[in-house]
Amino acid sequence: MNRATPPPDLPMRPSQLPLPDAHTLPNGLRVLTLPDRRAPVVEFRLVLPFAGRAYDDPDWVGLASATARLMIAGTPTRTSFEIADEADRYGGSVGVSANTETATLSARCLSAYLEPMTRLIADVLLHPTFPPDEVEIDRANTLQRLRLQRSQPGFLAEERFRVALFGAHPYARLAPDEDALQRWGTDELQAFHAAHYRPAEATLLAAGDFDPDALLTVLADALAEWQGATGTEPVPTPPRQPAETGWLLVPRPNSVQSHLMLGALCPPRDAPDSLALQLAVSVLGSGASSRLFLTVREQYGYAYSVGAHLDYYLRTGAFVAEAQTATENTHDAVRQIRAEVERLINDPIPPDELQATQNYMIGRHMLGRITLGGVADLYKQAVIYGLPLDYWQRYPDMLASLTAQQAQAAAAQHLQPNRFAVVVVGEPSLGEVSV
Amino acid sequence: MNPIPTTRIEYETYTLPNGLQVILSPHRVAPTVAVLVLYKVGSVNEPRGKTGFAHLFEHMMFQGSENVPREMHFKYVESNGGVLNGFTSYDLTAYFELLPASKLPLGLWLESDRMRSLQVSQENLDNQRAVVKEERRLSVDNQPYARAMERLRELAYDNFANQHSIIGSMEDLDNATLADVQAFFRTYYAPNNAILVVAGDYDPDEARAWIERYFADIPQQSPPPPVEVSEPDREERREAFLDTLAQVPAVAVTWKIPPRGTLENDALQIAGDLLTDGRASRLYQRLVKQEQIAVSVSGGAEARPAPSLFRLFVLHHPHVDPAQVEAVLYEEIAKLAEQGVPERELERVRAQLLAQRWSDNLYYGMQSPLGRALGLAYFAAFEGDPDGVNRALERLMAITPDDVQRAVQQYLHTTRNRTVMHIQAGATQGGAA
Repeated sequence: MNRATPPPDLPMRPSQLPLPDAHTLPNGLRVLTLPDRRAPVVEFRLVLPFAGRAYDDPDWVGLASATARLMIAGTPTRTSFEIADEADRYGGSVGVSANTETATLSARCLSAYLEPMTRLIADVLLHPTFPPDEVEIDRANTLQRLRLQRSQPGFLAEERFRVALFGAHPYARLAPDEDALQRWGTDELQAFHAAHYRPAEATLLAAGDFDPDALLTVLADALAEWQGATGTEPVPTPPRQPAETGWLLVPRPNSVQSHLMLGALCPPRDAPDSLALQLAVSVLGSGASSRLFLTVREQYGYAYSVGAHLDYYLRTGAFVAEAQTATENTHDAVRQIRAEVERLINDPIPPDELQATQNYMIGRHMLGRITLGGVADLYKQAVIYGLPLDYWQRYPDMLASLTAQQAQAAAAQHLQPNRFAVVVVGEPSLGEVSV
Repeated sequence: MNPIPTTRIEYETYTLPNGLQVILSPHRVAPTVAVLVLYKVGSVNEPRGKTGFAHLFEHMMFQGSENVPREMHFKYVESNGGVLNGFTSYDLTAYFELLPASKLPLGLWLESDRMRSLQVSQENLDNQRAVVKEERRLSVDNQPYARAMERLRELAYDNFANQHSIIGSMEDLDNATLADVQAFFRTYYAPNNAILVVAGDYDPDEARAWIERYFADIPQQSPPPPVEVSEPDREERREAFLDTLAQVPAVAVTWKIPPRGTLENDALQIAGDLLTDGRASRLYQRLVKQEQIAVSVSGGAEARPAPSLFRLFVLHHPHVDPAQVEAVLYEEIAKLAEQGVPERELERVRAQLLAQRWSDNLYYGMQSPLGRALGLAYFAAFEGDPDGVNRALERLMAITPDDVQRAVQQYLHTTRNRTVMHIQAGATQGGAA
């Protein structure tokens, strides 16, 4: 029997990602419904495009996040405990989080509880009261959580990296301003909610085991009094060049390892060469057969975790190469990462490697189709980035059609290592040596 | 209201003549298949001086076998659109591939080749030793609270098998030799010490044929030596830990409790949910909302096939005396022990248990073929029967208020087997330049 070579493939069963149906409620809310009976569960994703951190007034940085967190802190008819208790009883959860630009309400429940869960979501969304005692508790705990986050190297790196890329642009915001955190109260939170949580620009996706007509009927009733648009101007496009480049040390005493983030700005997700750049970055640093993994980890043993990816904002993208390495290997690891980026720019990607990377990216995407939550998150991304709804259906073919030349050209244009910001969180003495 | 559905995970199981247990669980939702091999070896099997070895060995399993050169395991899987990983715990080591359904034979070929013929060199061992040291720095030495948690485990247990960490000490990692790797492979990576699970979108007859072809003639070995994991009872232990990387102080408390598969462990799973699961939980409501002395609370009952820990971890405000945090924890436990739990509160926990069954977590949720494979493998390995994955949910749903009250009285409402650690925040304020 032949064990020396890998076995042949079995025939592949065709599969298609189902498309949601789009509806519009009288209040302008777009509702996407995707009935799917693989599990007796319903996933909800509500995208509020103008309720994220970038829409904080400069004097109130952190208010968007506080508003999102405290949406579940009480309504005229429910205490925070009752909201949590009720969601638990529906076999589910409900929460709101503020991201860079958007805020997202995510919820799930067992299908049997679709109607009461929809009414709970509506109450939370329309009638948050931001009770003063809850605001005080959140204030005190947010301050401590901020301390906790700033004791973690990954958070310190991300915080510094964003400032390096975006300078004074609102995209730089990650943590709340500690002064603003001391000042806001129920009034400011209510005002932010009133201004930024509006239906006309928002999209609600429901995926799972439910009857769309029944859901639309409940939604039309439960959300009837929710009206209007935010009328908010989108955040301006950030500059094309990072605010700071070069070696940027965040001293963290007692570190035994350096957390590295190297990166640069690149075009947004809807740019013509965005997928080609994603392919190039995947060759460089996605997965265990990527170049960074095979050199920095498997050849040199500099890091356990090393990789590269693109972070997308609505109006820009950011290339990030990240690794954690022993203090004494910091400079060598940075040099090695830069060298791999240079190779990506200068040498054509061999056909086998290109094909392998395309397969890997398509395979990774396919994993997102396994679960209801995964499918809901694919469409959430399409909504957030303004991608056509059939984007993920077409994604495998679009990726497969890219050439090595397109990937190399995108890398050469957008990943010049001499323009990288190099954030290093680690031993204070690392600042004294330059690369 | 419609009745709430429960779910059964369907499967069939058989054992090859060489002792390999095979579990097949077809489930044709998405065109993906999970191949999982669980070996019944973990950090509990490590003697003194060899801590971290089971995990270091896990890394060596990716370093090449007779027909799969170094680096090629990763490449075969990823270039064919799959993902892979392995993990080591106290009691098991597992390897998996999630692949497009058409690649099932590839996954079986890869797993069989390394079970049959692992090939390791000194150079590869040295390289992976360096990688694992970075993993230790990343996950323990450079993180707040992680070294405290490592120390807490040493204090909480009395038996070395349970005490030491999975990642191991730098010194022991340095002492691992190629001969150790080869001996470990022979002893623990035999088919008769392993379970193979295939879950997802495939034809079981086809899978049987491929499994027979690749695994049937891997030679059986003598059974590995049993490991003694029992724990004596003891009085309370306390320690303060100065964490130079932490900025927020914490209180951690553990009790030794019975292993998984017992009524007591099940009841303490429920007690853990009542106390710490979510914002409606008792300790969150009491510590964070009512007393306003804590930032967060987490914990619950471990479900090891050995004496397990019931753990509570509270991040608290710097001005608060940790003794006050402790007092509240014990009051809430006393309340459960003395007054029991209302049926209505248990109903909330049961709804969450049911919902967890439908979790969409790609690794552990039952919507995912990998989650199903892991669930079946755990119960086959730890409770001797893959059907435990189905019965466990029924068992937990049937836990009564009396069961919870009795287990809390016996195992938590006591200083016996209790370990308390006050973690002092020793990092300087700020951090960012």
